[in-house]
Amino acid sequence: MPSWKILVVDDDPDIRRIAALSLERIGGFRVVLADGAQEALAAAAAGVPDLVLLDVTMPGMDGPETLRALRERPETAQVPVVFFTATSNDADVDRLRALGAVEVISKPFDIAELPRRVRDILGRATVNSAE
Amino acid sequence: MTPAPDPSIDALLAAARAQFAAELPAKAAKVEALVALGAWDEARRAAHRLRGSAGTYGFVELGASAGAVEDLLLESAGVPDGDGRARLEEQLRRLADLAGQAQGEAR
Repeated sequence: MPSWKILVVDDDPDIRRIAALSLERIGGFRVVLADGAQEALAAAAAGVPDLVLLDVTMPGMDGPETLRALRERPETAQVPVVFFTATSNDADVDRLRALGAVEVISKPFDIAELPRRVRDILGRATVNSAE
Repeated sequence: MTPAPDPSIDALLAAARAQFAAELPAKAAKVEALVALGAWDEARRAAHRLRGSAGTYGFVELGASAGAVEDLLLESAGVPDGDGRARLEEQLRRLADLAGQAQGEAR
């Protein structure tokens, strides 16, 4: 079975590095990394990912603006987007979900748990799209 | 299906953690330097990054300290003074201490 492709978008190289290790080496996913919105949109245009892990706080276009841009493009309009955030409280999580994120993952995150959560989300997304 | 565990993952994670730890004093110093320059927004962003990354690499206490710096900068709406400034400087010293300890432990 071909592995799912995850686009990780974060301006912090330390987070990109550890997320890639976690998702590729523990989870067995294919991972594409982007350091911000423009690189993410270009990467998504070059090859539509199965899921986007998107940092909320980035310089320039932030996570919510990037999500909006992804939704405006037909090829990525339906791609599940998961927000990564270091400052999540219940109100933040509700706000981010209301923007259209399927899930919100708090930083710091558990590197062993991240692939399981991504797999669960992809499983739910696959079921929903088949219905 | 969950893939089989990769035996090399522990070594890769340890190497990534050691590299991160080696860079921690410089990251803490950057936050402090930005505060000294009065570059509040950049200081808050640098602290925010450290808050998210440090805990993920296993430096939970340091991540919490970076979070406290970020919160103090947020509370002061960008320009801490008086008691806020004193608490910020105390937290920056703590951040630098923890960064030095983490670097030492990872050697």
